[in-house]
Amino acid sequence: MNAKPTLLFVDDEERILRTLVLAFRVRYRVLSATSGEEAIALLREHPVDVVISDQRMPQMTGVEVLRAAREIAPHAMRILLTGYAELASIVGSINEGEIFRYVQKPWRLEELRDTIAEAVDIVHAARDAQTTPVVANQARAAGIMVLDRTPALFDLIRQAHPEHHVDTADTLDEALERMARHPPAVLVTDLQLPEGDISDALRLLKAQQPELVVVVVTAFRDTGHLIRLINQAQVYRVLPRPVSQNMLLRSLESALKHHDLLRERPALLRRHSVEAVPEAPQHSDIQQRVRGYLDRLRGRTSPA
Amino acid sequence: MAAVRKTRISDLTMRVHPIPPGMRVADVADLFLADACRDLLCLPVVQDGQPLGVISRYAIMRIFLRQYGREIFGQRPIERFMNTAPLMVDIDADVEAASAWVRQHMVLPVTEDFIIVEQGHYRGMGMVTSLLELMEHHVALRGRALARANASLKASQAHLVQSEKMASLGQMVAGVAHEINTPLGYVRSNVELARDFVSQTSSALVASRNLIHCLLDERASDEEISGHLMTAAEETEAVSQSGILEEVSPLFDDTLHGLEQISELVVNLRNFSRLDRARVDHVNLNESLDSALTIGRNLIKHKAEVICDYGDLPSVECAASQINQVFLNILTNAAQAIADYGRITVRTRTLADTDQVEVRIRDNGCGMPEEVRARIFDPFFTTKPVGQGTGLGLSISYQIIEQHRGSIDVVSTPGEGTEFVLCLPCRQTASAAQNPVLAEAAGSEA
Ligand SMILES: Nc1ncnc2c1ncn2[C@@H]1O[C@H](COP(=O)(O)OP(=O)(O)O)[C@@H](O)[C@H]1O
Ligand SMILES: [Mg+2]
Repeated sequence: MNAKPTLLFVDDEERILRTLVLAFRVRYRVLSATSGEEAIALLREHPVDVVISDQRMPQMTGVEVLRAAREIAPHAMRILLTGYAELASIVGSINEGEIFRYVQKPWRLEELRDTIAEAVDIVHAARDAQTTPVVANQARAAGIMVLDRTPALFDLIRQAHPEHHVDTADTLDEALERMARHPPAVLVTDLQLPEGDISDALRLLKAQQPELVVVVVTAFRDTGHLIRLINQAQVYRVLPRPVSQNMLLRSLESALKHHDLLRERPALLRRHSVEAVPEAPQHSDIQQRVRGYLDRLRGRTSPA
Repeated sequence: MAAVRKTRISDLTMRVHPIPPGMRVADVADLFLADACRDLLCLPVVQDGQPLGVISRYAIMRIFLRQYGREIFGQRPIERFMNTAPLMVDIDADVEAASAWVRQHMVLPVTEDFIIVEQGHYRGMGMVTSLLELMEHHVALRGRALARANASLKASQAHLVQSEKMASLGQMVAGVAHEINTPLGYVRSNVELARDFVSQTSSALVASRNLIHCLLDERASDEEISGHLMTAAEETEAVSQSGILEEVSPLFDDTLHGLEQISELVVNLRNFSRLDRARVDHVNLNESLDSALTIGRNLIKHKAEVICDYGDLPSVECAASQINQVFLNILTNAAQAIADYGRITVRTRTLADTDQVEVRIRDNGCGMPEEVRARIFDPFFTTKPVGQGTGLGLSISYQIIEQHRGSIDVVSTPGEGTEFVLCLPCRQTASAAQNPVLAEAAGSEA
């Protein structure tokens, strides 16, 4: 592959596009659009590897552009570059945009270069992998773990998915214990558990087990928190509490499909790789528990 | 004093029609806006005569202030959100015992009234304030405790107003943060690029200098000279290949433009909040309008061309940050009423003889039918999708203008547009000191 990878930048401020074009044109072929409509037209005409879009634009928002990109160019990685983190845009970017990273303005050029380089790598790895045969899907009912204290959620999911092994737990420890025995495809979890906030545990889990698809159910919290859940835990869906049944079941449906896809094409796993997290010493106790779980899991799969 | 003195709990009973537990949140919210419910803090939820709970106006407001609140929760049955442990008082209870009990169990700030029951069956609602008043008649000695309870009631009302302010402040912060972070984004990126460029060009410069030294040195050999010549040629060629030389000047132009934008915003932000000035101020409303237009630029610039036709205005005595807020609300509404791209006209003039200033803000947006126009000043009335409308902008604006003894009028034709006409007196009369806004401001200034 000798052609330069292609980036598409979308922003209604032309000065933003000018600086980005200057910064990236040496290494990449760079396309730019000042509106969602223009971006969509470009996506239809050119193969694009990474789409980087602003959120707040007059006619079409960034989330809408990225959602369209998901359909027109499903292989392209999606990044939202935004001036102000609004809850609506963050949740939309997770649930509708299925984005790779959420980057805030003003960005650091070095970091943006790294993020984009990583995204491009992933696209190419996945593309090469496509030419290799698909791993036959082992017949196996993928499990769902529900980590939540309200039994209603568990009952609802169990009724909706009789064909899957649906398990539940009240605490993180209990969940890890059971997950070691039946590794689930999808984890449905609240962020607030009796032992506190488990965001850190989620990040660790996802870093080690990228094929685990995580659906978070939460009473909304601060925006910074959700951004970290995208960048460092690649959560698949975030649903506000109280949970709408329809939304939950629909999300679960696509989470299971997504897990199957990840298992069929392991190269796709990299699309959901997470940012390296600086180790947080104050949570070392959660880290230990998660590590313990991962060790048990390894012991189970590879008798060494 | 009232002719008939109230002495028993049954005298306090208001026959409030209860709502069923399955009623939808959005319908309950509408009920609260109805005239009949104007004075009620909450509505009782009753099934088969049994009270199940109460739902307060405050609880509804909190639901709707949440992101997606109306969309997610609007269709849910009210029983999911009601307080299932409301205050209940038996109709035959002793007034003193009942009010002691209510005082003990009421949650501050007070957002709910109590249910009056007869042998467990719903009979009506009672207001905490009326109960406390009644108590006052009964036991003059407890006056001090009552005064405290009354004060906390007032505080709870202030609390409600505060949350409304926070909602519109949140929207403004979102806009301004975006407006600042966008230029900051390209300014930062440009500076980082410029740094890279400098390091590239400086290596070309060093190579050229070495070449010159070598040329001027009599002892330099031909090989040495051609070696330096090669390097210098390569390095300078690399620089011109990179296109840096053409790019660097527009790059700096953009950077300066961005810094301009940021400082303009900061200046206007300061004017807008007037934090550095006394709260009651003598203000030129033309300047206030300019501030509001800058603050709202993010929203307006894509929606409309703005035409300002300012008259010569005398200064107006007002709480500047509040008046700015009013202008911003009206301008934001005007921009939101325009579907594609339209025009907003802002006109100011002095009204002859009356010592009043008039501001007209007109848009050629969607306009509104009479049913809508009649309700625009109601709190929480909005026709906009979630995320865009809180329904608070105009109700707050109305309050502010009224407190300044001004007037606010609307003329609107569906499909043609809307005009808001504001009048403000140039001077506040002495009695204006009694109005809460201006009095508070004067107090905090002292
Ligand atoms: N310039 C206007 N043109 C048309 N409708 C308007 C205009 N200004 C206000 N309205 C109507 O009045 C309603 C209430 O406005 P407001 O109190 O500012 O709340 P919000 O803007 O959050 O909906 C709006 O939802 C809209 O229906
Ligand atoms: Mg408004």
